[in-house]
Amino acid sequence: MAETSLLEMHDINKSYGGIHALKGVDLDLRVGEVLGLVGENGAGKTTLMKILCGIEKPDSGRIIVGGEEIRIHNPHHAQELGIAMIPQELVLVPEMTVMENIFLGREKTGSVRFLRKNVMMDETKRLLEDLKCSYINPADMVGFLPKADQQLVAIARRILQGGKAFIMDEPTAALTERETRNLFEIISTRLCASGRSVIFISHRLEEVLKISNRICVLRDGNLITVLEAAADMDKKTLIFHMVGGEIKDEFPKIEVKRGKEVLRVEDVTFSTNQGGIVKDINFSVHEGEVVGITGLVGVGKTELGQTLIGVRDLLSGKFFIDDKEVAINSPVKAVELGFGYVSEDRREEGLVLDLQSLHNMTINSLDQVSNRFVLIKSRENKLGEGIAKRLSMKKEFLQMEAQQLSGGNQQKVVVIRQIVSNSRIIIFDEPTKGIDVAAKSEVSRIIGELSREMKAILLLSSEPREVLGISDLIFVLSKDGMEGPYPRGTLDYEQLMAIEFGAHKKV
Amino acid sequence: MFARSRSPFFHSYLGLIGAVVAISVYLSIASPYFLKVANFVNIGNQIAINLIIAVGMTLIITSGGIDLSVGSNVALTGILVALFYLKMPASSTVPMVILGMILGLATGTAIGIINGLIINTLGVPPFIATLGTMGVMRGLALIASNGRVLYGMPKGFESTFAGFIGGIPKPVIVAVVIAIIGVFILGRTTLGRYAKAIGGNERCVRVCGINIERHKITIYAIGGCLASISGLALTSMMNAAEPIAGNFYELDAIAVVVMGGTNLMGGKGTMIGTILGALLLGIVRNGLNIMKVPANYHQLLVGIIILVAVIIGSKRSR
Repeated sequence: MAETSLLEMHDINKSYGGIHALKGVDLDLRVGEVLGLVGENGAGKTTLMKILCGIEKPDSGRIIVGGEEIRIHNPHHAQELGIAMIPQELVLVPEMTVMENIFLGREKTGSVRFLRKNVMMDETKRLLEDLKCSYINPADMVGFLPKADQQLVAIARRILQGGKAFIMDEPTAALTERETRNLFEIISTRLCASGRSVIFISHRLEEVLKISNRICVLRDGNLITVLEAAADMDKKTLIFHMVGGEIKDEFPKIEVKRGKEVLRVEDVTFSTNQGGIVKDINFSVHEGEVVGITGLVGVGKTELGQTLIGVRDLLSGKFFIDDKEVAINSPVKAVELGFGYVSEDRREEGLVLDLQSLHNMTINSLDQVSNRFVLIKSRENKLGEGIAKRLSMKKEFLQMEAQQLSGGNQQKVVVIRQIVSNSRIIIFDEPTKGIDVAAKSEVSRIIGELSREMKAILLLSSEPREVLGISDLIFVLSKDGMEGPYPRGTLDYEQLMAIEFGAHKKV
Repeated sequence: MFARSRSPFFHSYLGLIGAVVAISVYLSIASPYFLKVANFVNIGNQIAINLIIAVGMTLIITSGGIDLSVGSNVALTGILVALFYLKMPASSTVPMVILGMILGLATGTAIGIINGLIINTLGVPPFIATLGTMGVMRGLALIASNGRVLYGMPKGFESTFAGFIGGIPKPVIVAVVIAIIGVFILGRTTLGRYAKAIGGNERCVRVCGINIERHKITIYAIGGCLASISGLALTSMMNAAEPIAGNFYELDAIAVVVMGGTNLMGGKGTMIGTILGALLLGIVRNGLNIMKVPANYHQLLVGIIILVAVIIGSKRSR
């Protein structure tokens, strides 16, 4: 090999439960290069990087760092080996200064363990100068810095820790265009020029194409290809490899003739978690209709759902239910108006893990199984058994605590809650994220059942196959706004991906 | 993969039941006093005062909260009721006695509602909110009584909780009734279900569109009301109201709740466990007295027993 490798991964396998997340993946990172890593959600990027960072252990496979075969024991060990993770959500202490953050855990002390602030201050200045960002004051509180500068602090911290292989997960998600250019310049002139390497993970394909020397494409846990040099890399090729050919029927559709309009959203504007603003969203949902809103992770789909159920402020715009304007300022109000919500975050917002599955299913319909105050257990059990029978779910699941169920069954519990309750408009945020194929198709089937009951369904999903599979109407949200509606059948997978990545306009 | 199914009743509480039985058997052999009626009345009354508070505390802790103000609540209730009886004319008539007790219950319930409002509306964490009201209520009790013990309440009030029905001390009967209601509320009512759900995952319950504020305030109100019942019973039994009454009662209540198996972080609660925990603590305290263990050792030993019970309990629930 002409170029020397900083690290190599050979034949890495990893399964979670029954899901084969990585199937014999090879990856090598050369000295001084930027290696792009792309793939759809669930393709295995995160798992592969977790293995490299010592967070997960592979079932089999070899990892070679600096020519020596290594078993990475834990994240600290990975760090010592020079593997430096820069996660999307930065791990800095906002209440501490730039200098304190950079030296956190490696403070310089004198003979009697006093901190040697001046020495650390000087070194911080030098580090920041090296990164061409001497404008950052080492004494400033990190929490007050802009996101882009926080990222540079995180990089400086990793350099001090002896980082050689930098793993950057969606590093530009929170950056402006100018900040992105600046970061790219630092990557190429400061990191790579001094023999460090970068693994660049991003959904923004233009950026990956621009910064990477080579690009690895993962799909369904397989390494599909490694594209060399800029010549044979373009967005179409990349998408082609990411998507692959075959599409299974993971997302069965139940066709329903839609009824009257239930929800209408007019010129709605809200903020995203990344600090962006999503403007002027317009759409409506009818009875029995599944409206899918898709787009890349972080584009604001979740935030749209949160705005609709009143946990996020509506900056401007109007909601109409049955053609009457409504104000939604809390989930209590939203539920009164007929909304049901299935959060993307099953563990944090979807389930009460200590509670039995059955009790999770009935939690927002207790009026159906009580006389307002006293629970009628026989009625509750009967309700549960009826549901279990209808969805051919094992009866034993009902009595089990939610935390004892697999991810797929947990998700079914959350979705069943919406069957039990009498909501008219149900918002599903990533309803099939992180569950296996069988559970995916079952959850899709339940969504179909709900539309057959003439519920209005809003599907927020970054899984293109799911959106294409079960939506009657598709909108695509991107940082440039929302496109659509595209009626069912008018888009295929590649067209959808092209719209998501903003590639269709140039063609 | 199936995890272990839910433990049957006796298995869950085997440790506590065993401890209560073993210590009782030991004490009845080791001391001639243990099985005496007078001693049982003594133990019963002690346990009753604690258990009444602990029932409310179980509900509060299960919902992910805590209430440190219940001890001060006991004192303030007693002082205000005593002042009512001492200052109002014709206070020994039956209607006035009843009115005084209603005033007591209203005091305790109001304290609970204030706690709930501070926690919910102002967003103060329960520990700090009730630490604050603990000080405020104790202070009000001291100011209102001018720091003195108040005597001379009507006979009608004294006889409400002093004495026996069918040979059983009245506070014990009250505590048993309250404990049964407590078991029912936690296991069989929507409020109990919401308490567990809120304690287990408040964010989930919030996005389900459930009115968390209302349920939490109800729960703290119940806790406050029960503390004031305890306060009335204590005042009535002693026929005196002390501004320093109920000191550390909150800690005893929290101890028996956690000994019983309720998760201090919320989400899992058991009223039966609390009842057994209160029994265990009461018998241990009594045992230390009748076995003539020097008073200086009592706190140490009670502390150790609480720790052991909680450690065994947490091992079991894993």
